[in-house]
Amino acid sequence: MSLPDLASHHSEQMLMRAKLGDELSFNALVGVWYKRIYNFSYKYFVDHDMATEVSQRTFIKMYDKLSDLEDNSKFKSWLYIIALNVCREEGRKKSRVAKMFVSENDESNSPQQTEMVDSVAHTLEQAELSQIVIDSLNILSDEQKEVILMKEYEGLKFREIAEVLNVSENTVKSRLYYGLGNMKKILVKNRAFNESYGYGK
Amino acid sequence: MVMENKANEERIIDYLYGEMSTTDLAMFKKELAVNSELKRQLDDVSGVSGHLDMVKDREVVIPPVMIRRTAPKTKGAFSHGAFRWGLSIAASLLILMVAGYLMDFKIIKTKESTMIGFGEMNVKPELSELEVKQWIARAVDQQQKETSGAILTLQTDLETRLGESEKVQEQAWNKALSKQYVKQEEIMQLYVAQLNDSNKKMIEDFFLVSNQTQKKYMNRVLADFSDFYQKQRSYDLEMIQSNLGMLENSYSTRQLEQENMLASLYNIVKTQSK
Repeated sequence: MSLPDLASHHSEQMLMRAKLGDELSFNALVGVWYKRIYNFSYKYFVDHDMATEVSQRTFIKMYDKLSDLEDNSKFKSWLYIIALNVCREEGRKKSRVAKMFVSENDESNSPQQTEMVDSVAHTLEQAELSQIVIDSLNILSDEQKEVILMKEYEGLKFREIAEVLNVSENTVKSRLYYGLGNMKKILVKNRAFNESYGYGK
Repeated sequence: MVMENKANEERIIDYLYGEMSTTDLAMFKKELAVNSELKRQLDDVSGVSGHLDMVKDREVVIPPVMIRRTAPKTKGAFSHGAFRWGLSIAASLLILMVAGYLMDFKIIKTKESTMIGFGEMNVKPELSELEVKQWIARAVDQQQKETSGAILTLQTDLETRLGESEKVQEQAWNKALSKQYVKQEEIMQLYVAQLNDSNKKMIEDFFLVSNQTQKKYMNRVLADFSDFYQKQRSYDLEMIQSNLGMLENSYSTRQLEQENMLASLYNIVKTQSK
């Protein structure tokens, strides 16, 4: 059983009370899940302010829609659906703002990606492997990144990820496969994937 | 070929995340040993999880969330900030003006001073010390009288209440005593009845036990007597038999003696006759 599973198990009673309108239970529920949602959002944006914003919006939405949740056992998936939707909304806002500041001469293909790759190479020199990994994650497409975040960091089961993304389990596995493959390519390209690190499985 | 690759992708993911059954795992490993394409596909994605583990969760201070239900906001021109501010100020001024009018608010400005107040404002001349003393003395006297009156009223009221309270307590006490007496009587009757029952039961039990004991004793005596009688009877029979045997023996002996005597007599007679 992963940590979020354990938290979910313990928070079932709190969830039931929160659904009945008990504000203390709701706050306790926030206490249990805040760190997970914050870290999920942080890895999604690599930005503390964005992660805080997403976390707060997620829990406000959760408060507003908690009474709509019919099956308590699906609370975890349900919460991640909200968090992911908020992440996507914030991501769209961010990209709109970014486009406003992109000059006409800039390459429209993937300016962020180019910057990211440069940034990754630069960060490697500073031996910030952790930062490289998280930056590499953000080079991936949103679909692949979301699956890797939910599987690797949030410990969600394939079934739960499929529920969150509203796709089949096989699609989830396929996205994860290509995501990991691309991730490895980026890490190798940036010389972060080396046997000498001894981090590979 | 594409379908096969898709299937391999899913199997590789299952293998990496330990979601294969034992049978599938054994088959996968066997296939891995001979299928170079599968091995290449696995190598393409393996080892990344270890790198991903490098990114640890950030510690975060959980904000103290206090949720309170609020009424839904009305949208429109009224919700505009500037309008609301202006409206608030106008409303405040209106309230102040109405309150001032109702309370007869006045501001009087003279050469010497400015006076602000409510209602009729009489500017009285300054009081002398004597007048102030007399005024205070009168006020003190009036206060004393009022206080004495209030104390007297309070005392009377208190006595009346105490009397009523005593009566109520006495009634309650009597009621409680009578109730207690009735209850005690009931308890005594119940006790006597229970005592009678237990005595009766005890006597019955005693007689029952006594009867049983006597019966057992008599049975034992009769059994002993019967035993003794049987033994005595058999002993007597043995005695009679033995005596009869002895009598028979003596009878045979005598008969033999008689026969011997008769034989000797016969011999004597025979000898003499010869």
